[in-house]
Amino acid sequence: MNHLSIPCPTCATPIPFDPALLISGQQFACPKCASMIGISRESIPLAKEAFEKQKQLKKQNT
Amino acid sequence: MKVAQFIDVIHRAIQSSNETLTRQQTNIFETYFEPAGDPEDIDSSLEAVINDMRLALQSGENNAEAQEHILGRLKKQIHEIALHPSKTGTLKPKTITIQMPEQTADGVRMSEVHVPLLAIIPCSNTKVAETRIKASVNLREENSELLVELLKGQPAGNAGETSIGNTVIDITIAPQESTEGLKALTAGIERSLRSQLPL
Repeated sequence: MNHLSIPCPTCATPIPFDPALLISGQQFACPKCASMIGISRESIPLAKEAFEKQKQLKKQNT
Repeated sequence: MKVAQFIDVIHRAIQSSNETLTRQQTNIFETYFEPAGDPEDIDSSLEAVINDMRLALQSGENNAEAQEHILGRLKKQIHEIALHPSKTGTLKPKTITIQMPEQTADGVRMSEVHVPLLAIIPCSNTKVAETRIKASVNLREENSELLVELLKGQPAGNAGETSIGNTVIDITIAPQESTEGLKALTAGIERSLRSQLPL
């Protein structure tokens, strides 16, 4: 899950991010236009829930 | 045991593992999607009942049975909508809000982009990749039928392995490539993100 990217809202260049760090509040910069993206405080619980469920599922299947 | 039965047991073990994986993956779908509801569906169902009521009133119908029937339909519709909102429409992806600073004439302000959760925390996709079977068997023929006889005294399966007599089935699961559905969803997510790009 460490090689994800999201299109930059300004120039559409993929911005690589780590979901665990994004959820922890870290911001990520667009490699082309340097726009910063970060998750809103209100969205953290939902993202954290999905992240934990995926982590649990992965653990069960290893 | 007939050879066909022996193979069937192995097939069932693999199938059961795959079904468990699918179930686990399906169970967390509700984390990513929520009922969208379809106001048009709800409106048309309720409108039909309301229309019946209007017709009954216009005709001056004073039939208790007919009134009861209409009220029953109305109650059923409301009950259905309350209990199963997903039945009235489709699912929509849950979204999270991504913030980014934007330079405006009034200074820097935070703009927001709504991103499907699936784009941030992707669904894991696993399948049974390999099945190894260790077995000591005797093959013999009886009435023109090939029989498998499992030999005793073989080492038992390790933890995590399914043991059938002295046969060990070792199932390995591994991530698989995204399904076509997931690829289509990802493409949709990208289109949705692009549509939110400032002009």
